[in-house]
Amino acid sequence: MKKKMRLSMRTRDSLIGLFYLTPFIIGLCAFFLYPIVSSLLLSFGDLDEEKIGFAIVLKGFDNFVKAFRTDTNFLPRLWRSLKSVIINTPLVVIFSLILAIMLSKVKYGKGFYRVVFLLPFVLGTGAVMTMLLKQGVDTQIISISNSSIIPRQWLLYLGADIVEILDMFFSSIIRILWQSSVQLILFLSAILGISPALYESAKIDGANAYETFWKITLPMVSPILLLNTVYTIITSFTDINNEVLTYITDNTIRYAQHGYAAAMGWIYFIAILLIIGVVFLTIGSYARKNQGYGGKR
Amino acid sequence: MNINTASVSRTLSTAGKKTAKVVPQVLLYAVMTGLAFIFLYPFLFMLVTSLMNNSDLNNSLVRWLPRELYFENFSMAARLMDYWATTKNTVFYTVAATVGQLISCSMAGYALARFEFFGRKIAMFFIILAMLVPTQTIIVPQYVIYTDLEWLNTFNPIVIPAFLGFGLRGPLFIYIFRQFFLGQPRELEEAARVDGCGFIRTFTHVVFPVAKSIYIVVLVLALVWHWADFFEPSMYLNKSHLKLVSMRLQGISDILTLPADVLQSEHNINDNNPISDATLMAGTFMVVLPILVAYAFLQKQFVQGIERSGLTGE
Repeated sequence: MKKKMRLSMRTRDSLIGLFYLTPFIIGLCAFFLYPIVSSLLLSFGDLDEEKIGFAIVLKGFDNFVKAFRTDTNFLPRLWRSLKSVIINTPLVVIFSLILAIMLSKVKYGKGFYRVVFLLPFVLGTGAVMTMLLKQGVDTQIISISNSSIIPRQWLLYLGADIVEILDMFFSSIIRILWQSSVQLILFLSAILGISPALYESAKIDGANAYETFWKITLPMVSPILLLNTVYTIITSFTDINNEVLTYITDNTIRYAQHGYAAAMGWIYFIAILLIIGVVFLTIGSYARKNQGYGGKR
Repeated sequence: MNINTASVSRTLSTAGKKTAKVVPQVLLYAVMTGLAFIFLYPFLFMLVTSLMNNSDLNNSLVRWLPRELYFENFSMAARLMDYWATTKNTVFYTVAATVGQLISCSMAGYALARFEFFGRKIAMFFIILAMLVPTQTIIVPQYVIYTDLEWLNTFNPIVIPAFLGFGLRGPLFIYIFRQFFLGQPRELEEAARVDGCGFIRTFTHVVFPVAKSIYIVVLVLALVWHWADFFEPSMYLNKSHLKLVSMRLQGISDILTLPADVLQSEHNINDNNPISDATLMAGTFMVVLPILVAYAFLQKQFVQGIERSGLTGE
């Protein structure tokens, strides 16, 4: 009797669960599974132009061979885009962590700084930031060549090349700062959530700031470290101005190379998966190692 | 004598400690303020430039304060973007898609966090997969589906998937909701069930009020991202009366490159009605203004929501 009762509770539970999941399941089948399977098929062929609607002619690996062998535009773009992700992601994560630590020490005007640091998140996606970057906001703000920071005479000694490199360096740092808004707030709340008792006992044991960072702050924020790294990678991979994506879009819309565009999309997606896999293997295992490490958990 | 040196050295050392505390604090605020300037700069630049007239723009001495405020940029940008109509479209699409995602994603996240059922792991796998696949990879089959459904040139391709847990970053929102509900205690819901509350009422009257903070977080993220997005809308909305305001902004920068005679004949732009980079910045400012206002109202709860959401591993 008791057993039967429990069983019915369980089926009831799973039915309720499925009820809440119904919209998602419909969406999954209609707007994800069907398109993703067709796009996989499409990448091994092309649309049949003689038929109306969605008919695929399979062509084997032609599209992939074209991407790797024939098309001289694709691989360099893919490489540049991967390179910028590999370089920018650690910088965004490190900068946002440093900023969050500094912001957690601020006592007066916390609210003001938070509002300001989140502003690029509101401005920073899509059309608006594209327009602002076209106007050169990133190069103007710390441009050493307009002599607002370093006098013109000093620049003469440096030489034009070095000035240009420094300008490029500053502008990319600034763009990276603008990309770290959300990550900064996530880190900040993780840091504020660390129990002060941990820091006090470390202080009593004579740990300095450097040791405290490596032994307490970093392990305690490691779940967010993982989340932020993945978030940064995904936002930069799906960024509307990403070179590979614009190239794929051009191939789809302008040149109607649907099969080829799908193949490039899949190559790109597999590259993303590889990078995220590496992140999970390294940072993920670090985060798992630190689970249940002191504090509230 | 002995006491004296001790007290002197004590006062010295407290003074030293005080400076040792004050100096880093001052440095901290200096650095923070400098950084705040960097983060504010795009906004200030946009605002200042949008108020300049042509002679201020070309005058390299005028950088921060326009010599006179030139508001015509705004009326020109509004005319070129057809601002009121396109903003109305954008508001409609953003609000509809956001409401859809709040309902469907919270339901899915709740189901995945609370109930045991067959296929839960498979559903999680697909959510992670859908988070990672770029829209561009699957855009062609999607386009064909929407053509077959005769959804082109309607808001359906963007709004209906949002009500089904997809749309712009829907899977990410499901994941956020799931993480939140995993961290919440079940006791309240069980108590509600013992008291004879049905499962739909439990969701609307017990779960939802507790989860308000995470709803605000997703609300803000969805509003901001939908407002800025134009890739999918520009694929499906080609009729001019359906255009979104961000799509029209690109139009201003295209018009800027046209020769003077075309400007005069097609857009009625001449020396009396000039167009410049300032017009573009005025347009940009007008595009973000509604979302900035919305954000201003929600930002406090947004930040608190992130802190309380349990996303940060508490």
